[in-house]
Amino acid sequence: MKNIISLILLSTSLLVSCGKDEKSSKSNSGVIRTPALEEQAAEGSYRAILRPFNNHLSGFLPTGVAEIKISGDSVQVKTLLDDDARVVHIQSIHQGTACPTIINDTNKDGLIDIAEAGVVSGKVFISLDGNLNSEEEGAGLYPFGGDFTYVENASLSKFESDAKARTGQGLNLSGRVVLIHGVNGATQLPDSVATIGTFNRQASIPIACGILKREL
Amino acid sequence: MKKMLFFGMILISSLAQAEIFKSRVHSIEDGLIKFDNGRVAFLDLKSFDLSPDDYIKAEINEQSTLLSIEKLPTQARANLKQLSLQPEEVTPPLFEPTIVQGMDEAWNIFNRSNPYYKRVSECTDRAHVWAFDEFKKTGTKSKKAFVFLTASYINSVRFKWWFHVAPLYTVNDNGTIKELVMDFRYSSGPQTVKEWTDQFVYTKRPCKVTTKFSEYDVNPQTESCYLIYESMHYKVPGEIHEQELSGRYKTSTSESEIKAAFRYGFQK
Repeated sequence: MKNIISLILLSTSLLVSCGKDEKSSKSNSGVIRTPALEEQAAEGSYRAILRPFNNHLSGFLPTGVAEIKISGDSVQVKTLLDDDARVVHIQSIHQGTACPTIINDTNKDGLIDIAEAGVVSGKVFISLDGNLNSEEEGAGLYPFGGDFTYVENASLSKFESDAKARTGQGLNLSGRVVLIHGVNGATQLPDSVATIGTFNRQASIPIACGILKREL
Repeated sequence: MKKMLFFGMILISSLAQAEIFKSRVHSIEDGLIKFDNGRVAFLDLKSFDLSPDDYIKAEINEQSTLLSIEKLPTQARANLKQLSLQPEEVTPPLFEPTIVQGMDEAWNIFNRSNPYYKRVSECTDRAHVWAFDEFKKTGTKSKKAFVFLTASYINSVRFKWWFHVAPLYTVNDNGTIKELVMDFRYSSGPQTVKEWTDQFVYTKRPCKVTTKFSEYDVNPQTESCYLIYESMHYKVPGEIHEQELSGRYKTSTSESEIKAAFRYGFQK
């Protein structure tokens, strides 16, 4: 399934050009600045503020934080989300460098679905699932709950090789996008909302996004 | 290979799904309770013997339905007069926000916002610290934008909060003066007030701008929301309320108030 997500998001990401400059990705309110991608993952800490979008799907604005710490050959990934939907929240680091905004709502249904988000956030770089050491082990296992704290550790070399195998790119984390998905299964969505693979539309619709920045 | 499992699988589950918090009751209307901390609880299951100003420990479920209460000893607070539909007109003191020169500087202000707010923190504390951090660093004086959601709107979308606040900066963007909200937790950059309120008001109906809290608090709730702009010194709706009732304006902020907001709202 990791491959299914990657392939579909790859197909959507091919529609846009890469290598945006600092002011090339605009939100509905202005410019979202992202740091330039680094050549390699470096020891240290990376942090993304996860902010809500598609937030009119419930009376709550989900927010959170993603933190990645690299030390020696170890990587620790921690994500926190505060939401009120007690559902499984698919989460992943993406290859792109910008979060989707309402201008990415190409079918004008008022929502940014997973396919529309993929156009700007790019294909999956790393799935933040049940086992960060493996492409297959832990696939499909994601945090559950309204509020959740996810902590997983991995070997940097395995973490890196998975990302390389999937995207052909090194583990350059700064500037990457973190996306979290999932609303309550009873949420009414228009038929125009797309999904991927076997995911139902409520599970796949993105709800929060952030851009990783290296901590000083 | 491990069998792939999808949505039945729970990696991390939070067992306690009820939310418990302590707050004073601001008001009770149309089947919902508004708390001083901004939260809303719906009276879907049963009614409770509650009055405005009661200080309680509330348990609510994920639909924000009030499940149980425990009344706590009342904490002292400023004595507020009874709201009047026609409050006395008073002349406000002059507060001139600094004009931020250019969008680049507006972005610098946004990006300087302390990102280490606590997971459970109130918008009032965050906004206060962000505004005063910037003032201490650069001397820039800002305003606060308070949005108040009406009971009719809250009930229509089961919204979980009745008010929200964020710093508001006056920006000279190539000769055009703009008022931009810097709500670092919920927004990825400076926003116009309308863009900001659209995040909370799903109908995207504009909020009615007022200077009187009573217009929001007492009127028949025909609007979806109200906006009040105050100086950076105002932290909570009660201070706006107090100003209207007593004619006493908040023209300064003590260091202890900022320290308290930081302690409640931020990790570092």
